[in-house]
Amino acid sequence: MKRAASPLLIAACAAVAWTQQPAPFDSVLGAMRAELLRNRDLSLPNQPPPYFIEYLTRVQSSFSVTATLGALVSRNRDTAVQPEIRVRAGDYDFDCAGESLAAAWPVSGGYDLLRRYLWLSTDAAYRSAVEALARKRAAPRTGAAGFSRAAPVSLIAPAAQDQVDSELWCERARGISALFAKYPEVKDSGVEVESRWGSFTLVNSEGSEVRQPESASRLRIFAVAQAPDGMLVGDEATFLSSDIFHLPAEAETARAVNTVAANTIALANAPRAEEYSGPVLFEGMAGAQLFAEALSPALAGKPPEMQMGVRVLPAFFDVVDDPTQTEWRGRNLFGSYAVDREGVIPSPLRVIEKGVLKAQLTTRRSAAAGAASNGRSRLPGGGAGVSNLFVSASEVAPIAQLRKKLLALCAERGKPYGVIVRKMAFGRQSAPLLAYRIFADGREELVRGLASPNIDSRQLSHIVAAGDDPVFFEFSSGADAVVLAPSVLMDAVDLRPEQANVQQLPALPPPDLSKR
Amino acid sequence: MSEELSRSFRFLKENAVPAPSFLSYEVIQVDSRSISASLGALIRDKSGKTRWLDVAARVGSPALEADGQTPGAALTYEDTPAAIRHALWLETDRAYRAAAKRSTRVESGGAARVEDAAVSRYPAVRREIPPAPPEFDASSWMNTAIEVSARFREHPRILASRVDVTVDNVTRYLTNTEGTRLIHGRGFVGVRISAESRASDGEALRLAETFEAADSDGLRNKDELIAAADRIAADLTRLLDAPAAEPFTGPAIFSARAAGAFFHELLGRRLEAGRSKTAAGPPPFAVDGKVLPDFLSVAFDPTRRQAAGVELNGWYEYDDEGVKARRVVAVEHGVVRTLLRARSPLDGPDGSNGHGRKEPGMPVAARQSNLIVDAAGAVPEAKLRDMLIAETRRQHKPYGLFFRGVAGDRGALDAGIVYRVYPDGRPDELIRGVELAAPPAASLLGILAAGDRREALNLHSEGDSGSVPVSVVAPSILVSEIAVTRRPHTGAPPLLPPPPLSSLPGGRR
Repeated sequence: MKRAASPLLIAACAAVAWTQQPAPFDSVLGAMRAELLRNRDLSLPNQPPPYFIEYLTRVQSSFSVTATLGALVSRNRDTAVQPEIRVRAGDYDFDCAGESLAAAWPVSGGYDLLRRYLWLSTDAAYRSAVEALARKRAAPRTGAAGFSRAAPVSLIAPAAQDQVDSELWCERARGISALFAKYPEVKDSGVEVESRWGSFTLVNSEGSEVRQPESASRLRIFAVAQAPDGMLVGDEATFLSSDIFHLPAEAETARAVNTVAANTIALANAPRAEEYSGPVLFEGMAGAQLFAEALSPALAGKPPEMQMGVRVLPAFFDVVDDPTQTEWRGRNLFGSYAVDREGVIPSPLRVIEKGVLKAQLTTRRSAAAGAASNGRSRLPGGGAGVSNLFVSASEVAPIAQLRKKLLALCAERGKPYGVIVRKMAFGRQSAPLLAYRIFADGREELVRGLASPNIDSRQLSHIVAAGDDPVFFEFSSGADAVVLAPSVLMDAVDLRPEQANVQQLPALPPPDLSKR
Repeated sequence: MSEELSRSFRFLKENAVPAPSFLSYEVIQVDSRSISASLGALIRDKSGKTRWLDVAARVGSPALEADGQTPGAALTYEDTPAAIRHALWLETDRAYRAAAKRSTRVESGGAARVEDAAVSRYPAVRREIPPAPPEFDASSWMNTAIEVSARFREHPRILASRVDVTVDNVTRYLTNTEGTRLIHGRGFVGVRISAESRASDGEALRLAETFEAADSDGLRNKDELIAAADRIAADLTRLLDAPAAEPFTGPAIFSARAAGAFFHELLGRRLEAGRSKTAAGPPPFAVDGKVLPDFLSVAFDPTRRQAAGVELNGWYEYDDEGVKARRVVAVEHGVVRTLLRARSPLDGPDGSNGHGRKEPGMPVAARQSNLIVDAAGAVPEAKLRDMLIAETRRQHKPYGLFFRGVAGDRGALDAGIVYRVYPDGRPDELIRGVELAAPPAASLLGILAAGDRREALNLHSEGDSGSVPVSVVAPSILVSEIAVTRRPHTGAPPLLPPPPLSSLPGGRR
């Protein structure tokens, strides 16, 4: 139920400085309060006023820099304001919502502008909620959930402040990217550094008022090379942390460049992967990536849906989502938060017990009728998302034993080799970046060009063993989150070579980069 | 750049099959700053620097040649030789391979190029004069933007408004294997004032005015900008109460500014040679075809910097293929004499006439520059109005139309402020929601007369090669027949009155 607000207003609300000194008056909160109060009286002829109005405004500053071979390609610093407006018509048990979700507009000095924006967007959202409700009354679907009740909260914390020394990070990006010059086999390479900080502010007509800090930083190092048959291959290293000070220091990034370059060159010289159907060991980070990719969306209710009370993992697995923990054995947890984007305070949640789904992550909109939200509204647009997801196994084995078990399974099935995946390109198409054939004698061989195995929650029951080596994997797909999980051995995975990204080899030799 | 060009060209010539016949590198560097304000508050201040690399390659003999242009690549904006060399290498390889691939198609019976001249018909140009950055006092312009935008605080019926000030300094570096080495460019400074509201039936109404120049000296001063904001506010407020348009066909006057948009869309676009089949709109006119009445002639003159007191957007010294800008008489006494031409995508027998233009990252195409309309026997504006009334009577129409302005500045034919002109002496009546029903090119031949006062309109023209800055200098015109409809609309005016504005100037509290 989105209705576009005025294009000019959106554009108007397009760059700079709430970065000035924090004024005693919070113009964002002030504008939201003032319009919320006025818009309670919103009413179309013969229609009741909205029973619920919510304004959520993110104010986010960002800094980003990209560099290749010692030179900056782009550098940006910006502040964006992104208001979301939700108006609900009907009542808690039978209702419809109208939403107005703006594209982020960079803006400053915007008390008047934000009030106008909220005014016009609330109007549009109310109209669409009323229309939607009329349609819903005409054709009610059974079981259509309403909107769960929640106690008002008041939780005002200061916004995250700018901590980025731009010049320092530009210099670091130049320095890191320049290290690739000593690898002529690398065809393309680069470094991206990104940091964002700010807050989200929420007010609703139930009396909730929330302002919470938000911040995250990311450093990515990548390289691409070309195999003799023209296939483009690459490796990357990504580091995420809540603040820029916890990004890796120079020695670690230099090591990462060398590892990424060495892996990339090794991939270019590796044989092409073949089709493979059999046991696969997801080792180290790949294990945590597997849970991040296959389990976390399903816990938030995304298809394929998992049924409550049904076994989704082997019985030796327990899974807890705990946004309240901020640290684990001295490591800052990337997915922590105090209150969600609907103003609900979360608690730790044991989502899977002995392999059986016990709870799902819900929001006020997704909670079952009569149930309360468990405070997981985290994604842009209000959807549920995981926070700090702890995947633990009660039966574990050292990694060497998992490899042995992998080989045993292969022998049992007459497979000439097994496959170990050690890193995936995390995202929508998470193809294995580093995959190895392992032969009966324990010899390993890197292969290139595997497509994403598209593993979803249904395949997780194919896990047959877990390692004793839990690894963290931080990711940010909509919301900042981290998975702590062990290596896992799956007894049946289908791996296919990808539709290869093949280009002709260069007709021209590369230039000598040492020349000035 | 030149070193990498000769290294690549030499290597490919000696080692690659098919051998390249031509290589060209263009780097376009844009240093920009933009400032925006709304309701008396600064809402944006952003500066940026980008460099874009475009490589063009040709393979084969001049008689049977294929070209490859890369879609462009972001290049570091720092002068770091290793990174630049590396990017040039990758892009050269890409462009060369694209050309080589096309050449196999050309040889196997595809569209062969017709060309009799050697490449040398484009003399090498050597000129390295980087443009001086436009003088721009950012803090003074911030204050101006704030002050001008604050004018809309006095107009509660206007829902949204803003003032945008932009400065772009564009430097083009071009080098090719014919020996051309060119560094040139210019500045673009612009102020745009825009506002929007909704009529009582919900129709969204938008008005905007743009002022552009090569540097801020050429822009209007603050008082004139304030007057423009007040004019927009007043016009928009009057439009809110104006009756809605109805479908109508009949005579109309286009003011000089409105006529500019009319000529740009209906005439200029169809004088660009080699428009791709995928481009929107009809194909180019045929040379020797009659497209305008005898009393009108049209030239494109990219060497002209000013007209009617305005600095022109369509001015440049060299085009994006290093061909020197020159005046081209495109239509003489109503007959097409020549089209605008570029070296790409197909270099025809007559060669380029200096109109190969593009947005960074796009392939070059023949595009407009400064379109200048000359009218013989122009009549005073008052006489033009008398002629409209006579024509209205002759056609037995209840009224004629007067298009006073264009709503936007994006080049599209978007009717802005339109009046009904009654033959019985009633005052002119403002109407809203007018939509031009795609006037056929025949309406160009239906131009009955031109006024004696020309105005210059700066535009950013969208086309095959992206957005390029252009200008039109045209007189007002009387057209015998134009068809308009009521613009479809949805939406409703807001239920609540606008929120009160904060009391302190600048919108801060």
